[in-house]
Amino acid sequence: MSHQGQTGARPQGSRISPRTVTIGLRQRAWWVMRRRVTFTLPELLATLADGTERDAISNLGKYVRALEKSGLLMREAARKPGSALTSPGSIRYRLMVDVGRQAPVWRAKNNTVYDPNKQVEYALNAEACDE
Amino acid sequence: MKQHFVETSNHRQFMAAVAAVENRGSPEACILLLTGEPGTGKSCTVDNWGASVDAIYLEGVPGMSLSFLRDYLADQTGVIGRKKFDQYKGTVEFFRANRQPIILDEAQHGLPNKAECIEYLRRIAETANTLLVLICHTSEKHRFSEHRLAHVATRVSAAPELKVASVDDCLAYLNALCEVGVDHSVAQLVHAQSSGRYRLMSNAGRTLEAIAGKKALQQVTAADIKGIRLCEDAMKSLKRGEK
Repeated sequence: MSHQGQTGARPQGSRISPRTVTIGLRQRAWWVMRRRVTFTLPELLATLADGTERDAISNLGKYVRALEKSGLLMREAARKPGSALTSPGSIRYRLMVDVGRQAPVWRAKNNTVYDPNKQVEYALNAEACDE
Repeated sequence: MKQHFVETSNHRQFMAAVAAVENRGSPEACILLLTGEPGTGKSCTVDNWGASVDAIYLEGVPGMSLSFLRDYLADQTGVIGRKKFDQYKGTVEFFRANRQPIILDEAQHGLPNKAECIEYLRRIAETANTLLVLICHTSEKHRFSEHRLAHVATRVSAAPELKVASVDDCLAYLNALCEVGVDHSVAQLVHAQSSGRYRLMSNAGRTLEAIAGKKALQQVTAADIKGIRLCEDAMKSLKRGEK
């Protein structure tokens, strides 16, 4: 008897269909993005992260940048100033396309963002947020 | 500063009120009225909860009418009906299926015309057995108790009012978010300078970290910050300017 299913190993030759839903922190972040329209990453974390996540900053940072590359978010010209004198401040994002209640899914392998509301994929523009 | 949500006493108070409304005896009393002064964490608390339950969020605007509200609900829920009845029926079905709470921020704008907008939302929430959260500034709270709005006031099951932080809240908040340790005397100073407003306490926390960084401290005491302004309460400055 094979134990592949129990160990989580993928059978050879099988293909996993791409994700169609985002859950957890990213789903909640999408809710806050729709509600606030303009936001910074620290604001999202201060509202949603509970401190038990493994790496909430990296998780949300990657998600937000993917949404930016897809054109759903836009980086505003002015940063939100930090409190320290030497702080470069935080990047302020603006929601450009509100696709709907269900959070867009970042498909890293395909280099796309999938909108489960209208079931369309957005290609990522690599130049969008290179600093 | 660490970046995560802190479960303050205000948050606990709000969650207790949510539990009270969810376990209410009469289904029609499905309203939770949340009030608070600016900087007490209304938005943060509601966003944290709203995101976790995927609530439908609406923001009241001046001059909001029932037809505006219907269009707004249709936009947020994706339920569009050709006639008003179809729209209402579809919306109720939507909320019945998803059991999502409804949040109406700036709820005072729903009060004109005998609170017809709030009453419409309440009917939906009651029929779908979910809850309606109304949010407004403390100064608007009294308007909900007017006699002509008794049909709304009597259906409010809980009305938590978020308060400015106490010294203990301040200490818990700084210890949860600051990268350096702080003691009770520091918390007292921060509390006095920030007037217990979370927004300002966050700024003070950053200043404490900067001071600790400069002095290479792991723990900040009151002696380390003697005479230093940790945060600026702009509201106090404005009040001083009035005189």
